[in-house]
Amino acid sequence: MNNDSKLNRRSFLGAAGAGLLALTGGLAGCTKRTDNAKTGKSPLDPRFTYDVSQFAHTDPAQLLYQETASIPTGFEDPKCIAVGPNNTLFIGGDRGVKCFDPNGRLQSAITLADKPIALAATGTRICVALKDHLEIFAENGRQLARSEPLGAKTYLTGVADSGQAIFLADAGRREIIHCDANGKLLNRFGHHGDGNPGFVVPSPYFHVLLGDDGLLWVNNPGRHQIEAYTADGRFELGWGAPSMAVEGFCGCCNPVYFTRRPDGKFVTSEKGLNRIKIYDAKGNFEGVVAGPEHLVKDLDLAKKACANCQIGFGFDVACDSAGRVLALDPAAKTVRIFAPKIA
Amino acid sequence: MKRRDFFLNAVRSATMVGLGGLFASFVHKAKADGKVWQIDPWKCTQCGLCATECVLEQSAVKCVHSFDICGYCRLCTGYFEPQPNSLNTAAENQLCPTGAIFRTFVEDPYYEYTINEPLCVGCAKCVKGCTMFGNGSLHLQIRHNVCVHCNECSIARACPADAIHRVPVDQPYKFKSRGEQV
Repeated sequence: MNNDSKLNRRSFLGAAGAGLLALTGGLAGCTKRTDNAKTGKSPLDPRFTYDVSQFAHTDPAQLLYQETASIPTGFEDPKCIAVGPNNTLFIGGDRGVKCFDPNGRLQSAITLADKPIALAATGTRICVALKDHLEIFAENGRQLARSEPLGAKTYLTGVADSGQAIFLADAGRREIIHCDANGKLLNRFGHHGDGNPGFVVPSPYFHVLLGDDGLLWVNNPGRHQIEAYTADGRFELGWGAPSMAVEGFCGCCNPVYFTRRPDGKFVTSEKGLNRIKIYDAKGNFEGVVAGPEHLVKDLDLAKKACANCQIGFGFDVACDSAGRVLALDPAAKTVRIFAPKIA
Repeated sequence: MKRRDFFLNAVRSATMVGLGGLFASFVHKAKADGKVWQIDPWKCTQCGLCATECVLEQSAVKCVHSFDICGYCRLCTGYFEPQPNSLNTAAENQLCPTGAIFRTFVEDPYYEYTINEPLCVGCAKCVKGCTMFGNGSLHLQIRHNVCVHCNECSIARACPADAIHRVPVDQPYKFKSRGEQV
């Protein structure tokens, strides 16, 4: 062994220093990794991150409503809401329908064999859409009629009742089903062709509403439109456009719910960026009832509270005679009441 | 060959064999209990840590697509930027930073979206867009042809949602399906 290969003090200290440096670097790396785990935040560049926060704030000048009250539904899984004459409030969820007076006091309840998905209340009867059939009840809860199952692919998500006819929105088959007053199937329509644009319903949010104008109003979420049809299924008109901006309908498929105020204005509800907004009878944007920051304050908490909220979820909406907007919050399991701001 | 070189070579070879054996034993141990690591897509919060915490240079976590729950949307929020200039395949409109999603026309107004997995880094950007606005058909899974089956998965350790668990090796994936949808 020659002298060159001997370990002298200088090279020993050098090697020890390098080792210490490497050890420190390693520990720093481990600490950084642990920090990531603790915060749950990725160290990725922002271009690898999905961010819509710039659209999640509402301009105060556009906010026309304020939240004034809430009513606990008592349901674990509230699904649908409707307001009847005299502002009686009907809420469907779990396996039943509850009727509340305008002050939020429980009046009566109907037990169902399955989960209700949509409701219509005319004052003389309550129409309840379940997955593949319709059930009709008197206000005292007595069952008046029940339709036959409407098909294997049927998934009913909307119902409207004129008293003489019932219209059902079938998200599974992307059709509107026209039934007689007892729920007997008369006709189906909505497929592309003969001037109809065709319904595009990527997720089970498809609703129908009878307007005072005699038209049947339907949301067409995949086309970002609210559309009007005649009772025999002829397309009349549509309005709406896709946009993350507040004037449009955000995401892939919105609006998910809508209703009309007594003055004919539309109230729309969107999922993803939860927004409830007002449009005039011609579809011109007027303002906001509640924005994302008002409706879902903590998305993680909402997801934990609600089994159905793991993907984008919306707030079913109804209006009372005073123009108040009642929004069904599936995470808080309450009806949140928004009243117009007093100028 | 000198005796000294012979011993040095022997020690080196023994070290290499030992390390190889150790690695093989880890892999064997990972599979020996009949389980592998997998992501529960319903628990995943799309935090992005899957892309950075894997021991591999490019993560074993990839985006996969459940076509049976996809809406085949024209405006897919997993494919397009939140506010695209136009609904076409121009790079500036695409959400994926690595261009790993392909969009093909099916029929008006439906489009199919497929993942080019070698390009996917598992950042979950598209998953978040799809889950937030759509049906959540895009989701993350650990690909077992890429995963090295660490004894303790470093992504599982970092996951803030506790979404990564051991699953039976004969059912190594947790794909989303229509039946699970609410």
